Amino acid sequence: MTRPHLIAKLILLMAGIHLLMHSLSGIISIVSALHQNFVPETLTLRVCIEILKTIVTLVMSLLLLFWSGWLVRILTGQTPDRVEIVSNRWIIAGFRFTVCFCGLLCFYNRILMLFYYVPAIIKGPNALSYTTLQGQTSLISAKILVGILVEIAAWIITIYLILGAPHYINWQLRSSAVKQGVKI
Amino acid sequence: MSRYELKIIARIMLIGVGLYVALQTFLSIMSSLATITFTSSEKLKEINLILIPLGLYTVMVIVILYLLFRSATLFSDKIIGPEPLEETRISGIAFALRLVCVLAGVMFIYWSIPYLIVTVYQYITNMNSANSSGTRTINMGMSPITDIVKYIILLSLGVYLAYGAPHFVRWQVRMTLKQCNKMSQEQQSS
Repeated sequence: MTRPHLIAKLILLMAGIHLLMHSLSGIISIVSALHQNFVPETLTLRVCIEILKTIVTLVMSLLLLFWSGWLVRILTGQTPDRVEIVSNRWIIAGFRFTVCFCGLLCFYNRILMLFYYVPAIIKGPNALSYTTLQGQTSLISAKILVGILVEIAAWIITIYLILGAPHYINWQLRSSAVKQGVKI
Repeated sequence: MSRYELKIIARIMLIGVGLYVALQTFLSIMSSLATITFTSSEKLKEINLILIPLGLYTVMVIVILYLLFRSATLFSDKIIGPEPLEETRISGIAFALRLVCVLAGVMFIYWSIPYLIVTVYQYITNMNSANSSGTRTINMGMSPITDIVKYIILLSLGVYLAYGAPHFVRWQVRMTLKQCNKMSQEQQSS
């Protein structure tokens, strides 16, 4: 892997993590759309838009995280003949800095949300439900339940990122070594 | 990479964050001024709710910017470390990790300070109105104390990270080198 390739990969990795976290919050948006009092036609449209948005974001994030090679080649263009190959040590370090930075930034939001969801876990879903004019509570509870599940997933991802995502980095290193071996 | 180059990178990154903070502050001041311009005279009393936290926030941001621009050398020296380590690769990895932590710390401080100021101000205002009228409004259905605690925790984390998070950086460097060695051993054996 050359230096431009590594830089491009790291930037795409940051974008991928951002989109992954965004797609997680998209799941909450879908449940929120279900909760709001729209007429059936608008509701279907709104839910479809939210689902489509979440799926597109998730697919894009997975592309950027796991199959970004083609995009890296487009971004860096044709590699000159004499290019310095970055050592494995710096590839590992570069990936670690990036995932660590993203993890720390995600950690900020996780702390914010922790203070929102902890009362719901302790006191039950009704602790955070706000009363509507129609007095709906069931979907609000479902929203909080989905929110808690999404939050748990987000916490797992954040902690994994802060720890340096060792398995992901090893996989990246192996895949780039394989590609170098076959001279793609 | 020489110490001079590392210092330049650290300074560029710090000034970059400073410029980002300056731009965001300018934009928030502009949007607040636009809100004040369109406020009717009856709601003039409520302007205090925007102006006082905004004023405090601006002062805090100016202090952060002053530290980032005027004392960039001091910060970059701190990020690189006082003495060169035995191996330059360890020094480089520690430098980059410390830089990551400092940048994340500055962002934590920048994000949490305005909310902390606003929450404390709203809490004090609510306390005063509760004393005079006997009623109190609670923001977002959550206790304002919880909000204050939340932002104090985030601010403390931000300060720790901006200081360079020495324990975290040491642990990360150790783990990075461990992973590097493991990978090189795997490659040698294959």
